[in-house]
Amino acid sequence: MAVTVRIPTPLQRLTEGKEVVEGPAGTMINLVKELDAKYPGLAERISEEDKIRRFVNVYLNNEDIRFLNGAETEVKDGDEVSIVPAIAGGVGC
Amino acid sequence: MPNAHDIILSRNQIDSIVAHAVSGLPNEVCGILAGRGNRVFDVIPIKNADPSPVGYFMDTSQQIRAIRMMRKKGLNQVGIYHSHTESDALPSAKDVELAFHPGPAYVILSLAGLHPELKAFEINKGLVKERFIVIDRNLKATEGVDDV
Repeated sequence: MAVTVRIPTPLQRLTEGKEVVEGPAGTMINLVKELDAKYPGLAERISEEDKIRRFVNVYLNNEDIRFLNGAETEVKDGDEVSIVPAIAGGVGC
Repeated sequence: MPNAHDIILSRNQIDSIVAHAVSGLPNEVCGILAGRGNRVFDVIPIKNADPSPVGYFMDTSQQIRAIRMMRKKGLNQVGIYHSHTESDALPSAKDVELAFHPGPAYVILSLAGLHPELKAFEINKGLVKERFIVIDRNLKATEGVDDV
């Protein structure tokens, strides 16, 4: 059993077009690094200096990991992780 | 005949985007256009988590609920809409900088003029290209798509 990771469309070109990939249990940042070893370029799109990027939302099952333990959140076998790029913009100041 | 780069909406869907934008004044509003191909089946208003007259940030929990609902219904994110309250329906520098989704159309509704103005764009790696909006009088919403 592994952790299921849902990849958003903009990043699927890095995962050979796969919408769902699997990775090992451990901390969230470790999962991102392990996935990057298989799908190079993924980690830098999701994280920066071992933290999740501001405009990337990462959900562990139904919880935003910002409200858990951020990049250090523990992920177990059977969990589902969803990576969801933020949608933001506007006129600006 | 619409082509693959157009975005196809019904009059009612456009009216509902306008109504959402007006209800959110003086702040910008935002939402997702769910559908298949380039046809919109549902307008899904999403809470602006950072309400302001000059910006929006989609509430992430509502965004992910919308994504899951679309997945369940076999729908895709055909478009992403937001309003400009005091400026034209053109992508701002901020819109371009924060456009992380190259696939869906970025639909902008301006309430700055006498009449609402709606335009759609493809934004990919800083490049902006306008997409035509086609109004389909026969387009029906899917049944049973819940609000988020």
